[in-house]
Amino acid sequence: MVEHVLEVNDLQTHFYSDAGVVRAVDGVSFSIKKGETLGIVGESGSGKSVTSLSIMRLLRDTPGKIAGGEIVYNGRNLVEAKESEMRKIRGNEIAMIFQEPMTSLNPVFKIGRQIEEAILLHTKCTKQQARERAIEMLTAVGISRPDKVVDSFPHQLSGGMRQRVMIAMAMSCDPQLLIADEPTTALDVTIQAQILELMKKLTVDFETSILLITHDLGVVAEMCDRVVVMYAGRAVEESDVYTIFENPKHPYTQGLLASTLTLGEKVERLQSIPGNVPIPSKMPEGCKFAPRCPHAMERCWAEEPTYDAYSENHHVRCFLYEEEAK
Amino acid sequence: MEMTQTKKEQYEALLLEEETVRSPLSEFWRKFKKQKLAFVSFIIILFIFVLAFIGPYITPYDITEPDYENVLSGPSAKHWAGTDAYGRDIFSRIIAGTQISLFVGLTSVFLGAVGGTVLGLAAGYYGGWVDRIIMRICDVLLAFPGILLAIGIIAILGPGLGNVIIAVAIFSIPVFARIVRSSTLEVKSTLYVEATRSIGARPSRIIWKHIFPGTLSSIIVYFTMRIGSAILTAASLSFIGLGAQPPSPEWGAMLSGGRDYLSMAPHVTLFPGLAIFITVLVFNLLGDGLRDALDPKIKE
Repeated sequence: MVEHVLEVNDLQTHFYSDAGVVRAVDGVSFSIKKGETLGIVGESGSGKSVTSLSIMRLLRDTPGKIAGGEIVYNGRNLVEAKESEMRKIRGNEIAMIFQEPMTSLNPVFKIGRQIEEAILLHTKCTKQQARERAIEMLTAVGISRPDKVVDSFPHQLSGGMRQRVMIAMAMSCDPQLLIADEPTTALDVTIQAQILELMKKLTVDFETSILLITHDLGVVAEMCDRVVVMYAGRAVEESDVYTIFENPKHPYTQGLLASTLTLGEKVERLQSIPGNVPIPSKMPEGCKFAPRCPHAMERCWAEEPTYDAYSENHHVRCFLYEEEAK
Repeated sequence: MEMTQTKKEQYEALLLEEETVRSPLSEFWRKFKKQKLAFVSFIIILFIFVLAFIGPYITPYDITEPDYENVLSGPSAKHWAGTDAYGRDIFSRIIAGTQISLFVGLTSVFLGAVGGTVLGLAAGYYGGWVDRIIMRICDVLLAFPGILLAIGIIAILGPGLGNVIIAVAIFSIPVFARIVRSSTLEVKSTLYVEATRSIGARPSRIIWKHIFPGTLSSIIVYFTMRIGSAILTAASLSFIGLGAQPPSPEWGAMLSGGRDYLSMAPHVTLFPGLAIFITVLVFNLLGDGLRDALDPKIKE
């Protein structure tokens, strides 16, 4: 039996507003093994970020609530955990890095103090020890002159440096799981590669599992062991990275892959998936992808397909594969 | 070859050079010094503070002893600001009164700021019903004209300087609560607060260590500006007999005492009025300058 660090079963996160209920996440299931990197791919508005915030239980300041499902972390269901228990888990066991390194550090505190804060919150140690640990972590994330950088303010560092600092902060308490919400989207391409390389190295060194949220298939190919494809709040396909790229089943995944460029291949026009992600208040009744799907049948408009195992490590939510799945 | 080597060495030396790091405080001081008017006001305020401390010991004349030979005499070399209806030296009384006005202004605004900040942080951070209750109470308090509210409070508590402080503090609370709430909402939604929550910090820590410092600049600016108006309100209350009572050399009370001789001896009201005017003005100018120096959006 493989040990799963995190198991998400049929997660439902809904947002309640005067206009009605928005099902931002509606039936997402996946699991992450120790040391594994799982990618969640999808367009904007597909519920990727809400999934990550649900796992951290950081929805408090939004009108969002976890309406159903389980988030099992090392055998404990986080959906039922108390806020005080969650505080012990956040940063200590599950850490997070964000998309915008330019704004995720407090502009009025020195870098060192912000890393120390994370350390002091979860470990019993003196300020001096925390500072040493902060310098150690800055070295680990490849920052030169870490003893100078600890005493710098965020505005003195570049975006890439700040993202390294964020990673240092996230890794400072040796978390088992790192949630990275589009960690390279706001960075230059050259810096992106460096940050990804760093994250890869850290997973090996620290045996950390990573939940990588991205819309960049190149990043997925580079980083992930397995991939979950999300569409309109649902997981539509999950498999290992090779299967997803070589043998995608869901028409949406196929469309996503077709709309990427391959180096050296001549194309007249870049392919795209026609249409947009449906807006929450005008969700189609059946399969949420039916309006944009080239294979849509009468049935797809009436009922929603279930998330079935196509093969042992390959799940698809599509009627096209119903027969094979059984 | 020799040349490129030195260039390379020069560059490496440049890399090793210490970058000058300006802390937020030194950055603020650098910007503040450029605000000439505010800087001068700041010097005058320092002078007023010194006067407040040593004032009662340096007055040229006794401030309570009547001198019936010199009643209502105009400004002269002997009495720079003339004398009042009891022949007391007005200049000495103004100096001695500095203490009272400054103390009332500072304490009342300080109490109001503390109360307002706590309420504003709570309303902004927790939102929901906490926010609604706090802000509705503030709306009610703000619906009264400040001075009227103060008069009402004093009507309940009774006249006296201590009650003036309480009255001014109470009507300062809602204004501070509003300002702090709005900056709390702004800071709360920043990614770095979210990041702090993601490392497992408890709400009290997030509020005091991360949100409060973010609201501090608007609190400081408003605090300074509010002192001026608090001094003015305290003087007004004393003027209508609800604050300091004669023979106290409170500036408002002095104005009130000179009211009957306005046409005959205008200097009795002119000089205390001038003292109030200058004090309020320099605090407001300082507040303006602080706002400009603390606002990172204003370019030099």
